[in-house]
Amino acid sequence: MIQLENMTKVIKKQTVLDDINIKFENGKIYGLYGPNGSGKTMILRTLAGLVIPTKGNVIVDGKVLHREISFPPSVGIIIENMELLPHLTAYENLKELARIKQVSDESDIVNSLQRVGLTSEKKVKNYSLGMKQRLNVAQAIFEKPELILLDEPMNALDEEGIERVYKILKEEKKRGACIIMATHNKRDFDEICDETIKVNNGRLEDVK
Amino acid sequence: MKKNSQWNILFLILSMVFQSYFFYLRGMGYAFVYAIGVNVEKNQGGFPYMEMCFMCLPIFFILLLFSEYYTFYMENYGRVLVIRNCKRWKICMKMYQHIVIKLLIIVGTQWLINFIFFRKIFMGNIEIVTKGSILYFFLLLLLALIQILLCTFVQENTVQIILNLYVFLSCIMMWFFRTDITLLFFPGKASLMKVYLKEFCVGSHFYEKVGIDFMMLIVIGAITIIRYKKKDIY
Repeated sequence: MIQLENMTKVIKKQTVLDDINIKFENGKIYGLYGPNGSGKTMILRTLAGLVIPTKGNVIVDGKVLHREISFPPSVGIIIENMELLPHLTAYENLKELARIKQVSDESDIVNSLQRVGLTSEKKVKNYSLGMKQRLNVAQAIFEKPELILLDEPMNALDEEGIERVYKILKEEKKRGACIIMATHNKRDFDEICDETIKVNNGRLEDVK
Repeated sequence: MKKNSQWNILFLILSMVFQSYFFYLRGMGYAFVYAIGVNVEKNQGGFPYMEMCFMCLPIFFILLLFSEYYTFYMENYGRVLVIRNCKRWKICMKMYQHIVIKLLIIVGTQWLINFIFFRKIFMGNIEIVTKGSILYFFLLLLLALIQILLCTFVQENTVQIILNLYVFLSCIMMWFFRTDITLLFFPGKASLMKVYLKEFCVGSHFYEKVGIDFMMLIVIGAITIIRYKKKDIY
């Protein structure tokens, strides 16, 4: 479980997140929606430990982020402008990442690539946008994280890719992961989200 | 186009004009004025530090290197690594490693051009050309690392503008005084370290300069890592 407690973030005297209080539970898919610049991505970044709150806390399984732990212990992310090593193949990239935490083996890598439908031997620099996004999804799930944070995961995906990601997210939910995604697409909410949260001007307005 | 980028391009062009003029004067008669390497003929009495500074103006290569590697390692790919608790000094080292390789290629190419096109001078002055190339390499590396460090304080574009402005003013100073005034402030600050380093860098002027550069690299690298640890990655 991950929780934002009275969380405020101020950047250059501008309040981008204002007194956010919310709990996200495992085994559920949450959808964040709202206009551009409303703070959806900032919430995801804060949850990932990439942004230090100005006030309040991010609590992951009872531990306070940035005080007791630097990052959530088990997290997978897709956040805008994400890139992987262009001179390596998808498999080589995941293998390189797997060496850091050493919680996944070769079969996890192969399996996640198959799930996103990426069997290409091409180097990442030769990938289309859609293929890169599939690889991003594989990167976010291959270590079987407990927390999955996705910023517009369906971007650049074709219909088949979207269906695959829906299936993957449902499977990950069943596995017990907590999935939080920012999206503009109403279909995402209808198809997979258990709860939807409206973000506006850095505040949570409507939780359903 | 962003306003910052326009300023950046303006200073880049102005710096390039000054650089062209400098090389036109210094490298008259040379086939490849931008690749003359260390101009040994004009610098028999000492090490051509000034020329080296001018050779890396307007930091064209560095800007390319920097924009590619900083954003990639400290932000885009960096995020993927840090959330897996990858040590930030390791991420910085990965970035430096790529920059070092590229700079070695640049310096090596110039060395090779010297060898092919100015063989007589090259063979007759191999020691000074080699030492010069090493200093040039350190200078480029120092510039790259300074940019990266500055980027942990302000935005990438702003850093490029500041550095181009700095380089441009240095060109003006050089043009105006026509003396041994080197790039503004940074070699000046470096000279303060000589007092402390003299005992450690016994030997010729070269080793002293390499020593200073090396120490500065370590200090700048360390500060960058500390800054990177504290910085939010937006």
